[in-house]
This record gives sequence, structure tokens and C-alpha cells, in this order.
Amino acid sequence: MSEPLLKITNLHAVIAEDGTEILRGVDLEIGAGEIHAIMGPNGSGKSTLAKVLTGHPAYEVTAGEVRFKGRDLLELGADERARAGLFLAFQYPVEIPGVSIANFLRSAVQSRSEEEVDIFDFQERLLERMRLLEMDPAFASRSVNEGFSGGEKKRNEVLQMAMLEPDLAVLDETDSGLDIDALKVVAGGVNSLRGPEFSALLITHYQRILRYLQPDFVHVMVEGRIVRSGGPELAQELEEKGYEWIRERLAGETAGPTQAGGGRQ
Amino acid sequence: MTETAIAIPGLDWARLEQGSTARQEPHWLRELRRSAYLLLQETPQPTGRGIDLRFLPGVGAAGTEEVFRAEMRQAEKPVGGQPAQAGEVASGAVESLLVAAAAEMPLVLVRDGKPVEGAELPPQMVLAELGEAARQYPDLVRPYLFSSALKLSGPEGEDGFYLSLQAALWDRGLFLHLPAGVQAKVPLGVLQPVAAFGRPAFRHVLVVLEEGAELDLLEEAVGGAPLGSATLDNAALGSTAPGGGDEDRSSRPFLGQSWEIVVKEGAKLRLGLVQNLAGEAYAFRYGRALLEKDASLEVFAVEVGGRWSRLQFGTELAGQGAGVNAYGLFLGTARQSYRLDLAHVHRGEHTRSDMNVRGVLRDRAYAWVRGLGHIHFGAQGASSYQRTDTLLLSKTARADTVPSLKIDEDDVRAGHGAAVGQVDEDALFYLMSRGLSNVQATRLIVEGFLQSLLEKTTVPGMAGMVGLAALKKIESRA
Repeated sequence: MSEPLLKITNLHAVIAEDGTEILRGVDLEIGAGEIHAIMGPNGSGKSTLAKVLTGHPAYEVTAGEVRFKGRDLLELGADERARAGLFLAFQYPVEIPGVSIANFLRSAVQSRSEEEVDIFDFQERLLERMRLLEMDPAFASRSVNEGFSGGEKKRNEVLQMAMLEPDLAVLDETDSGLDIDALKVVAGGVNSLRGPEFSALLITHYQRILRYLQPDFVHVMVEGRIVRSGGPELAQELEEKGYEWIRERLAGETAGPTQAGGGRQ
Repeated sequence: MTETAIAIPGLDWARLEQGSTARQEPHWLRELRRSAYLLLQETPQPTGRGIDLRFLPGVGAAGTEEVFRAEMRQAEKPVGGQPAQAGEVASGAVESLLVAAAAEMPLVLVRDGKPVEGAELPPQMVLAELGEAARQYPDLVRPYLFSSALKLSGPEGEDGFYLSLQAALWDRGLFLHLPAGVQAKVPLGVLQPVAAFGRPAFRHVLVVLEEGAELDLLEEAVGGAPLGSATLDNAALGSTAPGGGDEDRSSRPFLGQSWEIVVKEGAKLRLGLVQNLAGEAYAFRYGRALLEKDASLEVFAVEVGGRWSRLQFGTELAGQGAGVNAYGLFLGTARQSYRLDLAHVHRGEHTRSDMNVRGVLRDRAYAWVRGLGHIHFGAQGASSYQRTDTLLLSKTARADTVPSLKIDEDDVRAGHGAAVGQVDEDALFYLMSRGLSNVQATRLIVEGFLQSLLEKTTVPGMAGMVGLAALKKIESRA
């Protein structure tokens, strides 16, 4: 059997500044074309996992391995990871004053392409994706995230994802702060990319988005580890019983690691 | 009161008088010069942040027509070596940002007080080299020259020194008068060329906009680059550079400039001041605008060239409802040193000043930015804001910002803010996480940082010129 798209093995990471350990041995595998969801209570390390995967300088990996498309991901810089086909939709997108979305996206798309990106093709593609996400075309000339509402920022993240067409997108709480209409649009944007060449890792606190974006696998993260993995029904169960249920179950299971070890079953 | 008389080699009245005679200046102008010269004798030269003028050779040397022509040709020389041709303008081989801008936008280039041939200017506009204007239009020039926005006997101390120096020494300049209600449709682009060596340039620009007149005026200080093999004969430039002293320093190009600007009731001036001198040049520029009732001024100062450059620009909001937007933008690399000093003096009711400065520094560049908002008693309802942001791209670059407010009236609004910092790490990571390299991401952030300022201005052509200058700076690193 060939290597999965992403394979995380025993990943440990600390906050670079003070050495606090956040990830304490994460194991996860994501295959091509699969949609995975990671759920968990606040502070469980979900967002840290997203940042570590994309190479955020605030975190330091102390142990473990991450392989992406057969390469050692941790050896690559943030920009190289992106060019290799990894994308992070930020929980809190950054404002870049004076840099227009169109200008920025063209540089980004160009960075993933060997050939010169045709400006007209690019414009056409950009407008089409914006229509899909129900964004006003005028947005293209606005500064990246500057003065955007929470919902506009999230749409802008999905727009970038749709333009860059990554092999794996990590969506860090892209659903938080969205009203139901915006949520549908965002989920629709992700669904439009679904196919054998697109995988996604949804990081979410709530089960809500999973109604519109059906995952193949659901994982539960608690205290820096994946403690449960299952199908979509796991999300349903969590929604009904809450995270306390997981904690109690864990307390009851004294014998070592639980089912941690990934969603490929 | 007087300390010691300044010792600028070669500066004596006989020499200045000789120059004045050679230029056939009218009697009143010679007298004005003489009072400035006498004032200069009793004004101590500022120390510290000033420039040591004792090292300037040839101060006060008569600038003949021939000498000036030679300087002009030299200053506008494109990178290739030949005087600018239209083709070279298009290909970007020209050093002058203004000449390059003229190829991209409607702009009437003005050289030595003369517009390019065939330019369509309002017939009522008076546009001439200042010395010539003093001879031809004494009734228009005399009431204003060093007696309106700049008053010779007015300021003391540092300002007084530089002002007297300019008034005594200017030998070339520009006069621009726009009668009431006349609106110049096309911006004027004035080239202020500086020779590489031989003779420091002292220039004075006098602009008078009568009631309701409107004008866009762009000016660029350019030149001062060594010529290499095509060196002009030093003697041909009229230099009488005294030997001795610090030879190295004495060979540096220097521009001393002053502006005197009167914007009358309801008149509107948009002014772009670009300092794009070659790397070894020194510049000291000093300007003052007087705004009458409901007059408006937008000034955008760009500092990209030179080794050491100081720009002091003050706006006096004398009339009720007058307003000024003052922008400053600097790009410093290597060991460039900039001093930007913008002052806003409120005397009229409901006057408004808004200052916004942004700069980027790399290598060992340094910038000192001072903003002053002075609201006098009686200027009720005035508002004065200042904002300065500096981006440092290296650990050895430095910036000092000195915002200040002096308020002698109760009913006012005022504020200031300043920030000096490195490229935002989060922004850098965000862009890099989309595939941009560190260099690309940094460049985009810097461009955006400058763009945010350029977006605010309505002075035409600024974005294009700054973009070109930035490109030149980036390329210079390679």
C-alpha cells in the first residue's frame, strides 16, 4: 500500500518562547481525497497542530515525524510547504495594509507554478471563484483582510484556498464566528474542491459545520493527543454527550493509548 | 549678541555683489541680498544638526549662464551618459523620476523657468526663472520675495541662519504667479538640477497663488552624480574651490534650497517635492507656505536620494478655515541620513493640519522626523494631527521621531502618534504560508506599507515616482 498523503507520527511540539508542551504525541494519517475533522475542547492543541504543520515560527517540534507527499515536511520552510501543496486557512487571518487581494494572490499562485501565470486567465479564475463564494468583485482590489468583518476574512481564506488548489487544506476553525448563511457558503467553497486530489483537515470546536461538510473521519483531540477516531457518527455522539463524556471515558481507560493512531480503518 | 562671524571661505560681499551685477539684478534685489548678507554676519551658525558650510567650496561664486547650462546637462544625465532622449525615458534609463513620470502622465516639464516647447499653460500664468522675473516683473516679485511666507528679519536662531544664507546666496530659482481664479489644468514638473561638484547650488522658489487659483506643482532635486570619464572641467563650472581643508568633503555636491509659497483665499496648491539626488549629495532645503482664508495645501515630500538631506517645511495657517495635508515618505539605504521637519502653525480659526509620514530604512540608514503642531491663542476649533511610521529592515537602521504639540487655545482637537518597528512576523508568516518566499513577502509588505500612504494623497504622479524609486533601491542591492 502506498504512503498516505500525510502521515504524522508521535508529534511533539512546544511553544518556542517558553517551552510549554502543547502537542504530546499526535498520530494521524490522511489519505488522498479524504476529509478529516479534528474536534476537541478549547486548549486541546487543535490550532497548534495546524500551525505546526504549516511551519509557524512560534512553535518548535521536539519529537516525531511528519511526512507529506512522501517528503519530510518538517525539513521545509513555511513557503516551501505551501509550494508543496499544503494550505492553512487561518483562524485569525492577518491584515496586510496596502496589499490588494488580487496582487497578493497572483504572487501566491505564481509561486506554485513553473510557468508565467497569464494575467487574464488569473483574473477570470479569480472572478469565478469569487462568484462561487458570493464575494463582491470589488474585494479583489481591497487590501488583504484590512477592515474585513469576521465572515469576510473567512471567505477570503477559502477564496485563497480555491485559487491555490492545494493537495491538503487545513482549516483552522474556519466555521467559528460565521452565521449560518456564511457557513453554507464557506462549506460550499470547500465542497467544490472535493475530489481525489483534494484532502482537508477541518479543525473545529462545533459539530455544526460538519452538517454541510461531511467528513470521512472524525478525531477527538484532548490534551495534545488524538484520543478517539471514528466516522461521522463520532461527531454526532460528541455533540450529544459533550467533551466531558470523552474525558470521563478516558479516565476510565487506564490502559495506555486508546485508539489513537489515525483514521484509516 | 553676535558671536563669531561665520567663516565660509570665499563668502564676502564683494563677491556676492559681483555675482549680482553679472546677473544684472535690479537695485532693490541687490539691497535685499545685502541685508541678508549683513544678517548672516551677525547670526551664529547652528551647530549639531546643521551642516558645516565651511567645507563648501565656491560659495558665492557667480553662476554664469554657461555654468548653469553645464550643471543642468550634467544633472539630467541618464545612466548611460548622454543627455536624456525620449526613447531612454521610456526604457527607464533616466535617473530623473520626474522625466520618467512625464512619459506616463500629462506633465509640463520646466527647466530653468522655461516650460517645454509647445506646452499649453494658462496665458495669464507668469512662469520664469526667478532672477529674470525680478527684472521683468518687479511689481509682482518684490512684494513677496523674502517678505511674505519667509520674512528675512523674522525668525531667529537656526531658521534665521539658513534663511539669511538662502536670501544672500540664491543665484537661480523659479517664480510662479497664478492670477485670481485661474486653474492650471496640467501639473508642472520643475527640475532642480545639481552639479556633481564645483559649486554648491543655492536655489529659491517663489510661488504665489492669487484668490481661488489652483495649481499642481511637482519638483525634483536631481543630479550630483560623479560623471566618471565624461568629467566636466572643474574650471568650466566656475569653481574657485579653495585648496586645503578636507578635500574629500569639499568635493561633495550640495543643494541649498528654499521655497516661499503664498496661497491666497480659497486657492489650492498640490505640491510634490522629490529629493532624488545622487548618493554623495548633501541637501538642505527649507520651505514655508502661508495659507490665507480657506486656502488649501497638500504637500507630499519624498526623500530617496543623497547622502545627507534635511527638509524643513512649515505651513502657516493664517486664515480662517485653511487646511494642510502634509505627507512625507522616505526610503533610506546604505548610510543615508534624512531629517524631516514638518511644522504647522495655526493662527486662524477652524484651521486644520494633518501630517502623515512613512519611511523604510535598511542597512545603516537613519531618519529623524519631527512634527510640530502649534495652535496659537485665537485659533478656535483648530485641529492638528501627526502620524509617523517607520519600518526598519535591518538591525543597524535607526529612526528617531519627535512629535510635538504646542497648544495655546482651549477649543481644539489635536493628537500625535509614532511607531518604529520591524516587519510584522505574523504578516510575514501569513504571506509565506501562501508560498511567497521571505524576500517576496517582505517586499510585498513594504510596498503595502508605502501604498497605504500613497493611497491617501491626491498629488498627481507620486505613486509612480515612488514606485520607480523603490525599484531602483531594490535593484541597487543586487
